[in-house]
Amino acid sequence: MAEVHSIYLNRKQLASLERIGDMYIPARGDFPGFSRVGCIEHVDTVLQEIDSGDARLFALLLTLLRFVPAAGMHWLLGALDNHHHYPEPIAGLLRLLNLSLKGVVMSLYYSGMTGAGYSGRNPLEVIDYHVHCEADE
Amino acid sequence: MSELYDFVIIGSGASGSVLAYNLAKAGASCVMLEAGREYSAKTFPRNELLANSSLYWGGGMDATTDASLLFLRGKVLGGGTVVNQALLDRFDDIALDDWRDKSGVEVFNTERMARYYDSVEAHLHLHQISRDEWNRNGQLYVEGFEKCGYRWGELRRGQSNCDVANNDCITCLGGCRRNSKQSMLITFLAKAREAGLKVISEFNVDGIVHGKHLVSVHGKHQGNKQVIQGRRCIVAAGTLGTNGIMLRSGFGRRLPALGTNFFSHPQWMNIALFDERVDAHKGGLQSVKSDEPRFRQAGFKLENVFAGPIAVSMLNPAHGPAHQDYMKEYRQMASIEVCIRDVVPGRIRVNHSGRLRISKPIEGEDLKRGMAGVRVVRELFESVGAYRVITSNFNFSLHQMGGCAIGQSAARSVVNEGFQVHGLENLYIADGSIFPSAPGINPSLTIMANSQRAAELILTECGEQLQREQEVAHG
Repeated sequence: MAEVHSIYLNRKQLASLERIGDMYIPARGDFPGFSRVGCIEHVDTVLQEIDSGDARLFALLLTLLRFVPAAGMHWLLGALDNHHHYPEPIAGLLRLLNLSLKGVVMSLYYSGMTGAGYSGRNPLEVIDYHVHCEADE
Repeated sequence: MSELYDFVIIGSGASGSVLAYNLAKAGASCVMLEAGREYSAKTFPRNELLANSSLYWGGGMDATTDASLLFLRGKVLGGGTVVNQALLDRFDDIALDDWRDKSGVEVFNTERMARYYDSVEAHLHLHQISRDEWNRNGQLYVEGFEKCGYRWGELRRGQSNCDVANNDCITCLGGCRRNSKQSMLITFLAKAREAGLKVISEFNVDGIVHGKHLVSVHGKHQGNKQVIQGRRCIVAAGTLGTNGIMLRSGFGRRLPALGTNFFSHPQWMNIALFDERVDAHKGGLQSVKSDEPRFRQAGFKLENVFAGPIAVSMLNPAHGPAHQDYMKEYRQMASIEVCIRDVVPGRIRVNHSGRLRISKPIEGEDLKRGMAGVRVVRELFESVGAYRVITSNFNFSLHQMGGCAIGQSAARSVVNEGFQVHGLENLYIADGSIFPSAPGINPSLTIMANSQRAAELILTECGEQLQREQEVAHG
């Protein structure tokens, strides 16, 4: 991982987020992997607007998830996606975790913002997303 | 000594700006406090992530305590009108009759409300979206409706010059870059400033102290503590903001209804995948709506809609290759939202540190209404050849309402017919928080109309009070 500076996440938490990001979006076909794009350099843009207590909990979550093996993480991500199959209040907890993890990963990956050292295809180009709206000249 | 304003207005959205315009035009000294920043057409963020983090509370990820409902609410000068789709509809008899029954307020009637709607509409460019402005997403919607025998209608939008042939209005969710969308920023708020309104942005209100002769608003401006004082205060911070401020100010002890009967028009987003290019993100974002009496009776409505890649990526419960295969189809997606007229009330509270804690179950009759709408959406999409339909497994709310209901009784409502808070004569509320029930119709225009009426009543009352003071002064 290139040098990333965050005021919310330490180096190990950033590494944890990259690992999870690569599970959500692995390098495959046209898609560059989450860690390859370098979008994690912009993580503070996502975290600065959420409640500071929630940001601390998110950091703690990343610390804890570092110790979950890959198979366990894949199972967990599946459970988060399919929270509606679980009874409350377990489903509520899974929704919160889904919103946190998937929300941060997807916000970064599909932001169009990449790392300073990245020169490959932008994920928005991969899905062919182009929009235009400006005032008339 | 700090300045004493005639009115302190908290919030710059559909309510605050209409009130500010009317009061400032009448010569009152007004200050408007807005938690968000000020942007313009030139400075609105140019990508979805920056728009979410800069223009929405919680970065666009505000939620109920169990995360079953996500709230999208604007935190920017101009409020929700800067980030919403400016769909401006008057309420019908079903909505207003229900309000009259629940509140006892006789003005809630289509004939009596007409002049307030007329008054606010006179300040707005209103445009009925025509067929030649539909993108393929809109076309598929109408084809589905006609094949299934349901009535549809054209959406009416506040816009002056979108030129959707050359511009993509999905960017509107991050503020209008063309000054076309009729947000408060370019309409009522702009006129209020011309009339002398002072605006302080990046001011977060902590609480209000109500006195016999003045109201003190405590908060932080760019992190520095400040107190703003006015003879009267209007809380127009949007439903969640207004309820939060009122609760943090300790008014829940004297107002048992505060924070209760919260409604939110919960939505289910549905994405359909086609073999053809749809390009739902191009051109006009929304163009058509359901106009089917059976849906109105059943408590839901349908609109064509779409979202940017970040939002769309969250709607499919998948990760890894399955997620990537889904996102590769972005240009082949169409979307219809189911929006219900909810009847199961939620509750707004604050915790010990003043943070909002919102409970809003999606259950019972509300769940039944949502599922009825989703069944219709699947029928529509299948009739026009969708090979897959995905319904989001969490809900969104773009319209938060209630918690400070209008009504006659202080036990069951928070504001009286004159928009004054019961027992707090210098405090007023006219935003979406005063709704006594969910109308099932986009609320923005009615918030403006209610605020127009509130402004007229406040000015009348102020004029009468001034006259009484003058009579006393002159013996």
